[in-house]
Formats: sequence, C-alpha cells, structure tokens
Amino acid sequence: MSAVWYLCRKQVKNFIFDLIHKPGKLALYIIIAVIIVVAILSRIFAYQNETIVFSDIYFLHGGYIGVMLLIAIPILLRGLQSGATVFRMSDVHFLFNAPISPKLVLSYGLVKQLLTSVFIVFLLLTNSYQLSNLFGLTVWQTVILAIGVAVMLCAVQMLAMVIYSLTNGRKFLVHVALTILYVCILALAAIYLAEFYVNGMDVNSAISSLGSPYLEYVPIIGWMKGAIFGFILGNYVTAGIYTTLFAVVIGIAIVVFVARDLDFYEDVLESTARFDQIRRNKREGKMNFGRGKVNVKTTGLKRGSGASALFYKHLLEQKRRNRFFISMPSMFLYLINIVFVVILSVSSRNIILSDGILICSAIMSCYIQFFFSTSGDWSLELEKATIYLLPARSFQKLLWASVTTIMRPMIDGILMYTVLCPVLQANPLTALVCAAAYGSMGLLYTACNILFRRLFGKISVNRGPVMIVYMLFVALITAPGIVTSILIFIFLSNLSIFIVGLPFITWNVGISILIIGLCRNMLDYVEYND
Amino acid sequence: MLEIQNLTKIYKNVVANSNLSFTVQAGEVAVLLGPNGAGKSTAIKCIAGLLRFQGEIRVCDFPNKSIEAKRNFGYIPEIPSTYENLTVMEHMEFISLAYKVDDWKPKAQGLLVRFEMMDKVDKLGKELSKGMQQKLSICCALIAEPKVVLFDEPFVGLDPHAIKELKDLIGEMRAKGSAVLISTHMLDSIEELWDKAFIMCHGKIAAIRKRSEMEQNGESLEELFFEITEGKEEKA
Repeated sequence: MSAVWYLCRKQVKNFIFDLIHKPGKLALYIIIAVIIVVAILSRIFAYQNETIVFSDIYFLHGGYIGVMLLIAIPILLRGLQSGATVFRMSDVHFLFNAPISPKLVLSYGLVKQLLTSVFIVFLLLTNSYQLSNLFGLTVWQTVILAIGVAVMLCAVQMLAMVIYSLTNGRKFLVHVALTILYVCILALAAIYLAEFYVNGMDVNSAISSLGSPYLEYVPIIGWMKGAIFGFILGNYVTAGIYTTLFAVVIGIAIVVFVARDLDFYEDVLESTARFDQIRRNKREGKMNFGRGKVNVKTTGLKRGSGASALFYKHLLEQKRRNRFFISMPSMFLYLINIVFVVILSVSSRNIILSDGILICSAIMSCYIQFFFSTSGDWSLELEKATIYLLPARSFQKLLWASVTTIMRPMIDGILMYTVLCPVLQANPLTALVCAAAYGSMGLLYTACNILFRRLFGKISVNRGPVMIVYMLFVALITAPGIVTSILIFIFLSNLSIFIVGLPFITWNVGISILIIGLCRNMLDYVEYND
Repeated sequence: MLEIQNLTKIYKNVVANSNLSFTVQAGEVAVLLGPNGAGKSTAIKCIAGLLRFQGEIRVCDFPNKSIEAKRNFGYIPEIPSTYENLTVMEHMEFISLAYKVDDWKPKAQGLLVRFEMMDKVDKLGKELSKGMQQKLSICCALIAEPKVVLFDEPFVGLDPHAIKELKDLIGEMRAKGSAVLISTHMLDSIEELWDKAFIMCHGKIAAIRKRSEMEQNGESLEELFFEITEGKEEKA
C-alpha cells in the first residue's frame, strides 16, 4: 500500500512542480479556472427577472444521450476487441512486476482514471456559461451534467475491462456481449422512432421525442441520463432509482472482477500500449485517424522520381489509411454539415435562404477545418528523417510533400457542395464559391503550418500557448480577405455572392503562395529530432 | 571523403558538441565511441544534416546539406522509423524512386535476402518488430549504394544473424572504398571492424587513435576508453 500511496503523492507533487516550471501550461490552467469562476459568478449575479428565451430543453436531452453514446460505444466496442485500460505503460513496467496485490493495482488505476475524469468535469464547466444561456441551467445543474459525464467515462472503462476479461476472446461470448450492446443501441433508436411516430411525425415531434422518458429504460446509457436529468429537474425518486440501478451494475462488475480474481494484466497489455502510442502521438501533435487493420491488396508505388516519390507515397498511404479514399476528418465534416444544414433548414423555416445556409455551412466548415489542419500528410512526413535526407531541393520536397494536404480540402469542398447545392436547391455559383473558399482556407492553413514549422520547428513544449498564437495569427492573416468581402457585400449589395467571395478566395490563395514561397528553404533550416 | 571541421552544436544552454574535427577517408571504418550523453548521436545527426550546427561538414567535398552530398551518404538512425502503411518492399521502392536508383529490384532483393526479410516483403511497417524495422532501415539506407555511411548504434535490437551480416556488409563497403562512421557505446560489437576510433566525452573528442598505432603501442581500445571516460567523469 505504501508504494502505491507514495506513487500517487509523488505524481501529484511532481505535476504541481512541473506546472510551476511551465508557465505556458500554468497560464492555460489559470485561464480555465478564471473562465469557470466567471461563468459561475455571471450566472449567480444574473438578473433573475430578465426575460430570456431559452432553447428547447429537449435538445439538451438528446445532446446528453448523444454524449453518453459517444463515450460508451467506442470504449465498449474497443474493449470487446482488444480490451480497455485505465493504466499507462509506466504502470505496466513498474507496478505490474512489483510485489503488490493486483487488486490494489486495479484500485490505483481506477482512482487515477477518476481523477482524469474530474479534470474533464472542469473542462466541461468552462462551457457552463453557454449551457446556462442556452437552456437556463443553474451552475449546479451544469455541475451535475458534468459529473454524469465523468462517472460514465470511468464506469464504462471498468465495464469494458470486466467484459473483456470475462469473454477473454471466446467468440461465442464476444458475440453475446456484442449482441447485448447492439440491442441497447437499437432499443434507443426504436424508442425514439416510436415516440416520433406516436407524436405526429413532424419537426416538433422530432425534437420532443428526444426527451422521451422511455429512453431512460435502456441500461447504463439511459439510466445515467435518467439519473442526471432526475437530479436536474428535481425528480429525486426517478434519480434515485436510476442511480441505484447504475451503481448496482457497476458495483457487480467490480465485485466480479475482484472476486473472480481475474488475471487482468495480460488483458490490458495491448490496449495500454495502444493508448500510450495515441497519447504520445497527441503530445507530438500527430492525430491518428487511421484504420486499425489494413488489408494490402495491391502493392507498389509504381510512379515518382526524386521528390515526386513523396506524392505517390502519400497517395498510396491515403488509400490504405482511408476507406474509399475518404479520411475520418472528411467523414466527420460531411456528417456535421448534413446535420447543420438539416437543423438550419428546419429551424429557420425558410427565413434563411438556401444560399445563406450554404454560406453558413462554408463558414462553419472553414472553422472546423482549422482543428484538422495540423494532421496533414506533409506534417506527418516531417516526423520521419527521410524527407530531410532525400537528394532534392528543399522547395521541391516541400511542394511534393504538401500536394495531398492541399488537395484534400479542395476535393472535400467540391464533394460537399456538389451534394448540398441540389439538396438545398441553391445557386450553383454560390456552391462553387463555397467550395473554393473551403479549398482556399485549406491552402492557407497548410501555408500557416509551414510558416510556424519554419519559425518554431517541432513544438514539443508549451504547445498550448503556441497554438493560441497560431490561432491569432491565422485570424489576422485571413482578416484582409474577410474584411474586403464583407465591405463589397455591404456597399455593393447587388453583386452576386460569387463576386463577393472572390476577394476572400484570391487573398487566401495569394498570401498562401507568398508564405510557401518565403519558406521554400525550410527543410534546410528546420531541425529533425526524434 | 568525410571531413568535419570545428563542429559545435549548442542546445539552449547545453553544449552537445564542442569543436569536433576529424576526417574519415575512403575505405576506412571509423567509430565514434563514448558513454551515454557524450554527444555521439548529436554529431551523427549534424553530419546527416538533420540539425543546425556551427562549423563545416563536407561529404565527398560537398557541404553536407547540398543535394550532391545527400546523394552520396546513407544514414541509419538509432531509432528506426518506418512508414506505418507501406510494405517492406514499398519502402525499398520508395527510397529507390526518391534516390533515382536504377534497376533497384535485384539490389533490394539482395539486401532483403541477406537480412532474412524476404518472407516479410508484404508486411506493413507497423507490423514489423523493432529489430525488423532496424533491418529495413539498414536496407533502405544501403540500396542507393552510398559512398559515406553513417550508422547510429546500428547493432541495438538486431539478432545475431543480422549483426554478423551487417558486420560483413560494413567490411564489403570498406573494400569497395566507402567511408563508414559508426556511433556506438558497445565496444565489443565493433572490435574487429574499426580502423580509426574517436573517443568522445562531454561533447568533445578526447582521443583519436588508429588501429595500427594502437597495435604498435600495445594499447587496448577498451582500456583507453575507460581511462578517458571514467577519469574525466571523476574530475567532473
């Protein structure tokens, strides 16, 4: 016990000392704390008599179930295939081999996971202001929502570990567990559709069905949602029932795990190694969207010479990494846009024209693209020594290495707006300008990435503050194009959206070419450090 | 063939390499020896053009960052890093296309056979063990038949067969007139290979010895290594 207790104490102490030595990280935590305090105070001192129109609470019901599903399904599915984990590789190397009871090691892992979850609660609380504004929630109601998410995260990890250990790779048992999981998901969908049907199959019923109490009958996900909304809405009996049900299931899982003396060390090894790699990638700024298992059907690059071999290699890698050449970020973007367009079309009730919806979707897509822009092929290429060693000019290597990264948003833009334009019956020229704007923003993000790599090299410390500077820089550099387009829109209102968008696109392309041109020798100057 | 003049590398406040100067001639196998943290890997990375540095490094009479120099040297890093989604043979193909190697297939097959990798040609980079990745890294670096080869701890993670094969290959490269620089702290592994030794300590070259000189004077490389490294550490 003393060794585990010593480890916990030292980790907390070193975390605090590390924070003191990293002013950027410390500043980030202070900012988060300030945001939370401001959000809480602003809600406490808000005018009580103020008449505010809040959004439909059913959206919150639906959103919360969505969050629960997003937390539970991937963890449980992954858990069934290769196990879940609450450990790090350092735990595997030092604790698993030490003469310490596995039960104590498990308790240590769960406590650590719970602490991580508490941190997530704080992160969620930074958004409490928006939740308060949108749905009129009090601070404590928001805290309850966040606690629900944290408990769910921890409980599902535990559940996944138990299921994996019990099924232990035996096909029949895995199928049984998968069937139960799918039945739960299908039950949620069926209950929602039934409510939608019973309530009249219109927009209102689509929204109100999200708050159906029957959804709360579904085990784990539904129970947690029922418990949390019971507490929020003051239905303490409901809250108590669902909390008890949830606690009993998780309690049984823990008892089974401990009582059956399951040898979980082997079960968590693979998943711990995998999660450690993901954490390492994240720390190094690499985003892993790739598919786990790749079937190699055809082999060979076949084309390319000198620096252009990089481009053909990227094409081959993309083919292997993505399904039907569509990457995970692209899929995510398509999905978000479909949902966004549907919601905007329904909720605006023809107040916003089709062209306006397309433009809103383009603005949102450009913003979302920012978060995926650091994970392009070219930045992954810089993680390997090969690009620095190839006998070709730096500019040639830079260009060939960034072609797929630049092409990707252009293709995404064309695909997305080719589909959305006829669906919304919008003007094709507006769709064209939206696609071009999205593509040009992709080019600009890549150019800014190159510039920051040229200026700061590989950022391994103080990534947070550098990212903030990066965001501000991107905002600053896009400003002239945005301002010009807005001015044209205001003062020459008769012009079509196509003409209005042109200055923005032209500026993006021009400034990107200039930045890439100025950074042409970057591979001769940037340092590679593995 | 490989000339290093006053190579200095400073990381913030740490002097990793201080005024290193040495040469490796054609047909010579030189070893860069030193304890952990002596600055060997940093020196190798500077020579490979991966890090900025002060001083001058020339490969086959060209500055090390020039295209001509890059065409002439091969670098095998300490930590192999393969492409996750390329097969073993595609790694060889990619490097051959990028280095414009003619008739690459027989060369690739020859290297893969020597390192017992022919049954792994369709395996993806991410499916390879660390040792396999190291073998692939060696094969990729050698397919372009470089005149100057830089090895950073090449024997770590290799199985006995691969170690023997690599030693044979280094001997063959010497015979063909290539200049080979090996960075290592494993004295046993390079015992029968080296022609010239640079012993590093605290970022500096503490001693340069030729095998012929040591044999004449009856010196032992191991004794000299400990004399320098342990002696200096005691002073520090």
